[in-house]
Amino acid sequence: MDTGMKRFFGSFKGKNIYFKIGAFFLLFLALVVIVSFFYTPYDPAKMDGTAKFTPPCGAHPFGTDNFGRDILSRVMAGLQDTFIIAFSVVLIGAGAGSFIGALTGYYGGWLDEVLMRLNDMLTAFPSVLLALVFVSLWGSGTYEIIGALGIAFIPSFARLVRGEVLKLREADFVDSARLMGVSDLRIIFVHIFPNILPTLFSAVAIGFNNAVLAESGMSYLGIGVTPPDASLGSMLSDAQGYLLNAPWYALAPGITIIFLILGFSFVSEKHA
Amino acid sequence: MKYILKRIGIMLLTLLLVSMLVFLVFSVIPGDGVLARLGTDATPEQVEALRESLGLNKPAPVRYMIWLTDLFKGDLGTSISYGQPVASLLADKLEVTLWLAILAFFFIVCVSLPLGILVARYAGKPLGRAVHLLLQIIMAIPPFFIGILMVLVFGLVLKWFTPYSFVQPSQSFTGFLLCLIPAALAIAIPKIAMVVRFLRGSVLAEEKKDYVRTAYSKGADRNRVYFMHLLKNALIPVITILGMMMAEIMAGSIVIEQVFNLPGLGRFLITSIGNRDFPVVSIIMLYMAAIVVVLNNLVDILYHVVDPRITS
Amino acid sequence: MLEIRNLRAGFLQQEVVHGISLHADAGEIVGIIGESGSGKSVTALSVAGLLKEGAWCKGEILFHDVDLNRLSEKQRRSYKGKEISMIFQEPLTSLNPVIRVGRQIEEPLLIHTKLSSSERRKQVLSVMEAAGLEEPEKLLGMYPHELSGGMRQRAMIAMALVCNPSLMIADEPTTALDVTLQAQILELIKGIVKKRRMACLFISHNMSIVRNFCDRVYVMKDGELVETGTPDEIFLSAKKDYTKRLISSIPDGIPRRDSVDEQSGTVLEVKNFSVYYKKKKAHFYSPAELEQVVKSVTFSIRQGEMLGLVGQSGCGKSTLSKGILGLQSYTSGEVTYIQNGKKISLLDKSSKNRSYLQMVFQDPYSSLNPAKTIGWILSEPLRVLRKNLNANARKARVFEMLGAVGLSEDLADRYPGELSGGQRQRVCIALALIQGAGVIIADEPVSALDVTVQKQILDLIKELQLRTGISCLFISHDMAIVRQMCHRVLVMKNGELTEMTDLEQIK
Repeated sequence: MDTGMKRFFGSFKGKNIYFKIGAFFLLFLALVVIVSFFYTPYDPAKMDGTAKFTPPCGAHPFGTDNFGRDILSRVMAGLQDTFIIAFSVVLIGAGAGSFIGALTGYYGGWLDEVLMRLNDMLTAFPSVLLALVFVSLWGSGTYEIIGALGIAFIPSFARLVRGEVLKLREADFVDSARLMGVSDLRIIFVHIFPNILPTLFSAVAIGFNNAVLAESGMSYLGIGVTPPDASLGSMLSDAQGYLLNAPWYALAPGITIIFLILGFSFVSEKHA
Repeated sequence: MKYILKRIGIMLLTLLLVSMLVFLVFSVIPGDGVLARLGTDATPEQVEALRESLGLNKPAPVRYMIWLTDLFKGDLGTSISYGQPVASLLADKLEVTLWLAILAFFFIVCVSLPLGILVARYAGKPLGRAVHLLLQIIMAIPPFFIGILMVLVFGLVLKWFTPYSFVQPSQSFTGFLLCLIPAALAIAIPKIAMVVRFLRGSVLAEEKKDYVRTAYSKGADRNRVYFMHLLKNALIPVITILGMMMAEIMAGSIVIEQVFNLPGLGRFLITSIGNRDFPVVSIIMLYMAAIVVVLNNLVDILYHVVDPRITS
Repeated sequence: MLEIRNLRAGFLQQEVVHGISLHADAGEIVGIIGESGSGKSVTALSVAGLLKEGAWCKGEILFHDVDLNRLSEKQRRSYKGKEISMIFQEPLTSLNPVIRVGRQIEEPLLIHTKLSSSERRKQVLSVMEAAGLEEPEKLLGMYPHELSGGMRQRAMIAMALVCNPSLMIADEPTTALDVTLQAQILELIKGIVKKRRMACLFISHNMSIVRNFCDRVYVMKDGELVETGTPDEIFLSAKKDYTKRLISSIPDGIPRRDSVDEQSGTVLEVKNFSVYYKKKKAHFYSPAELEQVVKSVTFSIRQGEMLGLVGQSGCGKSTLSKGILGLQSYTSGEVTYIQNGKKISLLDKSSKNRSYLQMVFQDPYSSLNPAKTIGWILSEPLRVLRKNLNANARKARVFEMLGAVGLSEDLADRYPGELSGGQRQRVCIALALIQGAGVIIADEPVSALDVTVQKQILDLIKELQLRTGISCLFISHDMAIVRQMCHRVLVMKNGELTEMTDLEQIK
């Protein structure tokens, strides 16, 4: 595994300006998330009836909202929630998806056939819709969202990994490993899997984006993060009613999402 | 022909499977909801009586068969929260969603194909790069935020349209379509960016193929190579993407309907989920699933018609 | 007709062709031979004006006394397909998959002439006939994938002829074809060139084709011209060292003189062995339909023996070898390995027995895991089979094996992608040896390599075999190589084996 990882990270070297910009965005936002665990300028949930809709100023760089809460603090906390949700979703989706995809791709057979029929059906669905099915059964909330989106993300990863494994399964080096007497599981996860990592990395970055978008969409619909917690999506939802009076309320979380997603898409895209 | 028949067979089978899943998920798993309807202080006799009258005391497979035959007869069930037949509740919402989808798809096709070809054609040049970057930024904006921005800029500031207004199609069909346009654009814009990027990638991949070199070796100029040779190959995979998008937006742009306050299927779904109105939720989900399955299969069939390599 | 003076070409800052000059006259087939990386294809593409974006060429390319390199792009285009046409190596990918063959052949006429559609059709049909395509009317409406490989290349030739060009450039036109088709296509090109008094620039890595086919030959190496002359001058009395080396690397086909020790016993016995392919997938209602691809073959290999296996592509020889190795799903019969008089059946799936039999694959690019270092790959069988070895002992074994196949130890930290084809094939051999194999199955082990590298690898296999007494089933389609490598030769045809008796006689 170590050699595979070395190669995997080695492939980052000498990338172009897009990659660097993207990496910069992500590092900066990640730093903000880390800081937000220990420090936010104000308590993100503290209301202040005297300071409603303060435009951006020295005390509140991003202004305040309809309850007089500091938007910078709320964006920091929201970013943290968004990060955690997106990360967990991708972890579930990519983890379970890779496992299922690798096994079905390698062994084939009727199980593969059935799972992939199901998968084809599910991948065709917008992930928000799929997550809605689960939410309608479980109710809404942060953990429910993570579970619902995580499961909704499994099919696309499974499909991707299965396709790659299917391709590599025919390679001579796999036959060669079989001749060595390597066990099937070791062939799949030690021999084949490192070759999929670069593709999987791109997919994870894209998946992260989709998770952020899906979460914000669901929070916007009011079936995601529940108040007083904030995610970037739920903030946007709250801000919509005050577009004219307090445009900064919508812009701060909106622009943060944009930078987050741009960061991932710049990093993941192959700029030849 | 044999392929198409086979495909249709698979499609029907999948639909059956979907209906079973939907029934399982919304009618079996959550319980029968009788208690919710009667309140917790209902007597066991009352509960039993209601179960009896609703046919809920029969085993699940039998209930599924009854549900399915009712569906075929056009009886989609009764909404719990409204107490009305689901079919009559859905009819006008479906109309809104379908027209919205048609408009949005129209925008997507009309803008993304020419733009995609243009971007690919100028891929290495400053113009191409600039458009490509712009598209990337657009794709980074959550679709509903685009909607919010459109409402803010074109609706509230510039006053090009009246936000949150809705005209019933029965009053004025043109008025109805006009008030759908901003929402259709909000749906279309991120999708356009996706298609353009995909088409660009597809064209650039085709550009490296041997037959392009052959075409140049015959003395064809760049335009001829692009339009006569490359484009047909590059567009074939785009069909899949467009088909998936069509399915996606036909299934309802839940979030956008919310942003623009349009009484479509998506919003009704959210409301019904909030009310735990499972008869409605299951029918809407069934419809959305069916749309996706049918369109995907149609795309597959279309693929076979367009690509000579697969036909034979 | 064509004269190239001091042509330099390259990609970005890197120059790959360093000032070469050559010429070709009407009715003449001029061959350019060289190994991969010699710059022969870049030269051809420079003349044809088909260099990719980012590539450049300088110098004079005089065609009928016009310097093509000085023309504007538009003027240059008026030559392409009309005066100068090109045939490529891979006819399937070189034709547009979604356009009918007739239209593709017709296209140069559409671009360069003002002929009416009926005149164009007449011309298309006539060149198709000239290219040896029977029933051309029927072919017009077909798509490339509906034609056979040979027909596709004929269609390419028809396309190249349709405007009556005076120069045809053929870049490895037969490399992707079967041997019998190769001869037909070459004959066809030769006939056309002579009849129409065209000039032909023929690029190839295959010495014997160039020798029999060309009127004059240029030898290229590392972007420079090494030598030029008639085929006889080059092949019989080469002056330069490189040319001599190149020619001496061509398999001479002189049968092997030594024979296997009379005392040595059989190491591998294959009895009534069949391999099946699934013709139809299994369904709920019917079991999978099987087709017998290798038909009940029986043979054995003695210790220290090099057994050849020849046959046309698709005859089942690779299927047989994978079947013996246990890499096929459906087999029947017996495969027995004999060690010190003890018989070990190899077809049961217990992993330990497999290592007696190892394989060297045809394509060294796909037989080594691209994500792992050479050292890791070589030590993997030790990790799996000999768990008692510690990391240092494994490392020592790996270094020892690298040494045995003539590679330096520092390659252990490299990835397969950083190695040349020859080095990779050496690693594959080392991988077979490190598992203590008694029999190696080598499936076309050198056909993906350049001639000089090919000779080195063949020499290595022979030397290892003599030194370690290992046996080898050597599969190839090249009779000359098989003759010089093997003690005994089996011929496979339609899944059945016959033994070849007289090695001297076969061609």
